[in-house]
Amino acid sequence: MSSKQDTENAPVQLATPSAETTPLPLVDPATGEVKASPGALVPHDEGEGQAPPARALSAFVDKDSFETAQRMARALSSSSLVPEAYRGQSNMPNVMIAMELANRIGASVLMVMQSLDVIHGRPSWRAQFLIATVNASSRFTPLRFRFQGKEGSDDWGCRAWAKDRESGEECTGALITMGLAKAEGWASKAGSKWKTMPEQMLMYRAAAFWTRIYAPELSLGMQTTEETVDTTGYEIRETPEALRPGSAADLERSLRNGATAQ
Amino acid sequence: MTHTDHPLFTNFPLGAHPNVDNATYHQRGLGVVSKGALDAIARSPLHYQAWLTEPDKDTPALAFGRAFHCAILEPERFATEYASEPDFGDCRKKENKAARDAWRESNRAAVWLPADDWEAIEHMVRAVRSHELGRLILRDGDPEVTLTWLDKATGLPCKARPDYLVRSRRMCVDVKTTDDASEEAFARTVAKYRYHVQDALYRDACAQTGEAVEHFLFVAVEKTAPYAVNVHTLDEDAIGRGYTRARIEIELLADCVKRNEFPGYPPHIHTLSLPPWVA
Repeated sequence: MSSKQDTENAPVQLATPSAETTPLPLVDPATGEVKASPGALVPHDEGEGQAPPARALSAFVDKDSFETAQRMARALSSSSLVPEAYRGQSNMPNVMIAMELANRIGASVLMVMQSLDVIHGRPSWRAQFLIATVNASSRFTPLRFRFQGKEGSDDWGCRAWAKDRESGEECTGALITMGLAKAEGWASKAGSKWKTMPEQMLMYRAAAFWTRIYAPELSLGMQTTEETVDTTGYEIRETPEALRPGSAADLERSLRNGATAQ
Repeated sequence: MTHTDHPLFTNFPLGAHPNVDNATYHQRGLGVVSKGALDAIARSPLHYQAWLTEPDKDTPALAFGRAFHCAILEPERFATEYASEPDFGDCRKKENKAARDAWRESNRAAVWLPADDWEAIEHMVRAVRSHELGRLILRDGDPEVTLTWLDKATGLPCKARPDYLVRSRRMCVDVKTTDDASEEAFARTVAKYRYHVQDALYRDACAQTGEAVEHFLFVAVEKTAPYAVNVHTLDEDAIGRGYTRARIEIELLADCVKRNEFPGYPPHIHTLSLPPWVA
């Protein structure tokens, strides 16, 4: 893929947060001091050190914050625009967790909810979200990819790289090749995307490895959706809406009350 | 036999049917999707081919499970079709054997259950009926409704028969006999017997036949004293995994039928790793 040889490809990028979605900072639980979120998403043209809006959202600082967060979670969980896993009263805890994750990495709650998959019980980031988060970070230049080797061969692969904005140092990630994907067994799973879209998977995996080394505070130690699928064994088909379960707690309440469910 | 001459699909229109006899429902047919067919092809297409032509042998455990299902879901039928066979002692003795044969002759039309099985089933039924959730779950519904539909993606005919369908609650119930109904043990049972695949397939069956359900409950009943009852439902992740397995297996089945090829295990040298629990 000659066009990928050390070119300045436009990185995969989600919408940069607007002023309204600029993340809210963390609060030091001991002192109550407001701190900037690590890797906070701020527009690139804002200067370093410029403080984000000083309003805390951490739900676990005190009772008032928790109650405020609960009200916000209730409002979000009643929206039909949020993904299924966050809808309804029974999923309010999921919304609270998404709010906490959003606060930790400095992203909007809606972005987190739309970018977090739970696969086999493991929360996982979508790779494009992770890349967008790095791209919007004030610490690094947007992620780029440097391809090497002959397309289709086991040596074909790429590294992700970005520059540290402060020092100018180039931060280069691990080399991900098709040979590695085969050796790790990622490419041999049934329905593996490594067989059908290897170039995309090389970039996604290179970005995931890069983030783990240079900006682990953005991934919070979680794998990407693609990595989780590769290691858990098979492709995950999206469950149709009609097959999704209702709330067991609501059913039990209804059974005990003798009411007929609607 | 293929689905074009399968009695379930030739004698009944697609949809929900309350009174399909066991022999018709359980008839196996090439390309007919059921939980049993998916279990077979999950091993390999070769195993599926063997399953088609060599029906499982009946075992005392299977007969016990059938009798309990009948007792809990269709008590009137159980009362007329089953009989408790007394213990005649050592039937190598001529007089004992004669007494047993005479009893069997006079109960020729019934299904004979050993007296201790009969007693265990009575205990189990009482345990479910007195369980504070069990008794609420197994009421106002229909037992053994046969559901048939065509899989949209592959065109294959599909069949499912939920134990108990409570339409007013959009709830499907499966009654399972087990040695250990605790959450921990039953989760392993779900994985072993692929109940998550059954859950997804049956939810799909209900949705495709206009009976979409929100809830799929497993009422697990222990087969020995104290005959404890526990009610389980699978989380969304488990249903998602079951759905993925079902889709992969249905597509594999469609592909094998189309090619008329039923290969066994892939012909490679397979490097094995030890399971994680081995020291």
